[in-house]
Amino acid sequence: MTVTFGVALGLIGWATIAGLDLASVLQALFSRPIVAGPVAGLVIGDPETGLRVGVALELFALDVVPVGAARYPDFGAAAVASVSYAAGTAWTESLGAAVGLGLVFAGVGGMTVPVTRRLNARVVRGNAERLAGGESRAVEQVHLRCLLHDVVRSVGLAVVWTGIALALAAADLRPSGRVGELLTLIGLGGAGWAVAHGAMASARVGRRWRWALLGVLAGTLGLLR
Amino acid sequence: MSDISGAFWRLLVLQASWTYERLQGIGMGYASLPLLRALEGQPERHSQAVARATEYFNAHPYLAGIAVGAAARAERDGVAGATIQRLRTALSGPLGSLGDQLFWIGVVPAMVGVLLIAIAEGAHFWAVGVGLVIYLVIRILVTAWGVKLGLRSGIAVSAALQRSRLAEHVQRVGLLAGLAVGAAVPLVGGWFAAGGSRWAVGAVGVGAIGGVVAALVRFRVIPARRLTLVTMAIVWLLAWSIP
Repeated sequence: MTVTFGVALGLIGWATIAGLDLASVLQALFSRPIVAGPVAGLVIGDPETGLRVGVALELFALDVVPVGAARYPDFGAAAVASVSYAAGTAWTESLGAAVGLGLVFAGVGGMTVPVTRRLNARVVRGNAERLAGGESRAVEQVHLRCLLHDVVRSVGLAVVWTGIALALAAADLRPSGRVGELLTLIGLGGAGWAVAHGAMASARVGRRWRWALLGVLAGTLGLLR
Repeated sequence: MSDISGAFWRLLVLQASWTYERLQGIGMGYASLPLLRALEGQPERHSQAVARATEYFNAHPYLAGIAVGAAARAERDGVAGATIQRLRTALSGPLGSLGDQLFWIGVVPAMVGVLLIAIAEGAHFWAVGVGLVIYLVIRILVTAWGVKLGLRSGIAVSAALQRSRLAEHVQRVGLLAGLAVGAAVPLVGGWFAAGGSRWAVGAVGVGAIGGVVAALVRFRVIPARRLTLVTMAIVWLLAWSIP
């Protein structure tokens, strides 16, 4: 699949939006793979792969609760890169490797969040006196400078992850045949593990447990219909 | 732009200045500035209020507007600084816990679960678009409601929060999340199988059973992400080494 400069820019732009949404801006669903993946699929011209990769990575993301100081993976830009990697191939053979790539990128991307937070702390400490004096201008300057840190982080991740994924795809370093299919099954098995573990871990209240089980039964019945 | 809408827009970037020392403190100060403009005629009171607004604070980002509004109203009403600091401290934990339960463990998985079911049932892209719009509306309405509630209630915000029955929704949304995600797992497996990956239902099913057992025995040594990557790496290496 040929990716034009414009499409690559579109992917990087979308991955940046998804990265910013993780913690700094809005915190809506843009950084979730189920949104980031399909939109990336539309941008690159392979909606089917975008949807498949997005759904698979979303099952992993459901095992993560992004609370306060917890370290969590950055799935947004990772999902965009995964779709860029797998686009134009038979998803049954490339999904597993795309999921693997996405998990690595999400994990490493998540490690950059504490780095920006430490940079933020440095800016805050440098302006501690002005902040203690209640200078409105200082509060605005510090906040916007910190926001800039996350913009740089998000753009950086978007460029690097999308670039690597497109380079791997251009070199056709993607598994195919039986190995590809086996990796896809492992990816889906891991996704099943992650979503079940996440659902169980958050089901502290007994009734939620039972409702999840009820859901599994309803879903299974729907599958058999 | 009115003071309230100014605070609202700034709350959407609340966590940009998150640090390990003050957590959301600077972001809270940034969002409070439009609401504290009323004190600009009294420079000393204004600067003290701004300094207090930037101190340590942590809550769920969607509900932090309640504290922003309440503290700003208390500052405008001339409540003692120590009392406002206690109000912020008292709100921090409950707003964090309530928001995490309601949104991160409730609304988000419920919405995602419904989206997964819709996609598995053939809804494709429109489901993602509709889901995103609905979630954005919820996110915006909750933030706007929070600022207004806090600003209206001031120091009495805890009672107003109790009257809002927000906590009661936590249980209901949690049950819906469990139901939706539970139903989504087999359906998504079926969707992958119908799309051409024959053993997908079995793979997702076996994985899910593994995840349940791991959660029951509190096995968290290897998270699912790492387990998947290690298994993939072994299979790939074997495939390479075996001609």
